[in-house]
Amino acid sequence: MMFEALARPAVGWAIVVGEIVVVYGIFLLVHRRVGASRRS
Amino acid sequence: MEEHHRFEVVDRETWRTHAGMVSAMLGTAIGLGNIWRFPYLCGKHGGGSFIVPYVVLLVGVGIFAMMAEWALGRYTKRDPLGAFERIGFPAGRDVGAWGIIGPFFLNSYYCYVASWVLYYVFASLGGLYFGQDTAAFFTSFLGGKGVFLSHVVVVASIVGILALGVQKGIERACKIMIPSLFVLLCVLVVRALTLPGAWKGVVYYMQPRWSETMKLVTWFDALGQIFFTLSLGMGAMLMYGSYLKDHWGIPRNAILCTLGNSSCSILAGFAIFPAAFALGLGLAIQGEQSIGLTFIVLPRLFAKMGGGAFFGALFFVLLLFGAISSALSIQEPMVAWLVDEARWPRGRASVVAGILLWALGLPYLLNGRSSGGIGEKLALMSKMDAVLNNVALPLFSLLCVIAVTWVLGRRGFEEINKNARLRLNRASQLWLKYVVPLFILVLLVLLLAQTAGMTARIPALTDKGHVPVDPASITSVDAATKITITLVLLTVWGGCLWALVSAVVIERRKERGLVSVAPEVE
Repeated sequence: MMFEALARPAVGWAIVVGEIVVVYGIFLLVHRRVGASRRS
Repeated sequence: MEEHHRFEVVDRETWRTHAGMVSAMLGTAIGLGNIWRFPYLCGKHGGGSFIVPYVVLLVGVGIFAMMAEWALGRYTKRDPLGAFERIGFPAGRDVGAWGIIGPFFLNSYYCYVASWVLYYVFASLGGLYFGQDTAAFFTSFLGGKGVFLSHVVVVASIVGILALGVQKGIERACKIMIPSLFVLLCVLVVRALTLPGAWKGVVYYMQPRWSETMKLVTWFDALGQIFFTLSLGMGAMLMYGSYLKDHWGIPRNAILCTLGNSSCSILAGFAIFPAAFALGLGLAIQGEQSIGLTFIVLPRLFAKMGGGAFFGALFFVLLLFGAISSALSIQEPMVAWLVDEARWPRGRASVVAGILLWALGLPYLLNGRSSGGIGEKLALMSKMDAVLNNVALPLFSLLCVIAVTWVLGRRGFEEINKNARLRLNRASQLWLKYVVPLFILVLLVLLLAQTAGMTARIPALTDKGHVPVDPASITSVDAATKITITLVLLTVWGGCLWALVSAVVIERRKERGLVSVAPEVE
């Protein structure tokens, strides 16, 4: 059932866009923290 | 530190040898697109009539965009994020971050496809798909357990090579894989061309249909193929450019790598079409590209060919070399960021980035277990591919050109020409600054329109009216085909040979101090 949902267009687009936004956001946060810790 | 650098330039690893650098750059460029997309487009648009726009745009846009990415990398000697941040690009951190995250997402499904290739090496050797419906075999494979194991092996091999470093890992691996790839491809070309009736495939592949050259869709396909095949906008060329030695001339080496990549693409067509036409699959192969061509039509072809198990395995091994060498370069920006910015040891950075890569690939693997046809099983992957290939990559490439020509300005052009004997003159610099971004912008707009389904209403941008060529209608090798083959050999392969010999001779002389780095052309 879960696998079938992945093939649905709405679910697929939600996963793709969600994945990009979340990973990109986390990456920027980590980068900011890394930069801050290096400066201190 | 040079006085115009406003940022810290770190002492970092570079490519050890010129041959190693060329192999690594070719490894980035040569990938699945060379084998499964170029021959399809070339055959569809009539061989010579596609190669003309392809070469024009390669020389006019592709080589320039590649030079810009290399120059940005070498100037900053950083990962994409560090590069954009340090040159003072507006919102440089956010833009540069995409040069790491974008390729990372691309690699998440690129490794998934590479895992199919790995499985098909063994499937060919064991003749697993022989005598079967190859489409059904592929569909059941996507939902099976074998793909999970192959995926782990592919990701682990990438982690292993990257952990060894730039010289001992990437450079050494590419120095083995890329020459082997060319040798294997030549073996397949000889096998294909010696099959009875192979000449019909050569005619289909190379015969020009000049009405195709006049169509906008041919130019659009050619430009899209150039960006995809040269790995532009993926952060990979920028990253590998940051490992270039300062005395290597960027223009000549960029010409060498782009022509070497195109030579491989053209060679692939000579392996695929003659074999398909000789074995009665001439019509079936014309409608297929990418996945359909590689995993459905070609296995049918190997099943019919004498020694098909051996030649099938050989084909998938060379495809695997192309895929792994490209995947290494697409993964490198993330590893380099962890090393450059987070100051992690390279081994740890490679393992952590590898685990993340494996995790991001899981949704595609799970999607493969859903019921239905290939379209349903690859639904998630095709959506991610549309976002990245049609939007993110051309956009990042455009930003790289802007960064070098507008933000760095004179310093950017100096970096391209630094220690080069073949240099960009004033006219070429203006071309790179004004015309190249315009071409990329047009490509981006057209790709966006295509993704939104808007190009379907524009006849010039659709394949409407495209009729497959009936193999029975090919009765002789006409003069136009012979001339096209000769010109392709002279321009692309001849150009590649010239660039290879001259680059190797000049770089060796420079290393021995036999020639100065004064310009050849002003």
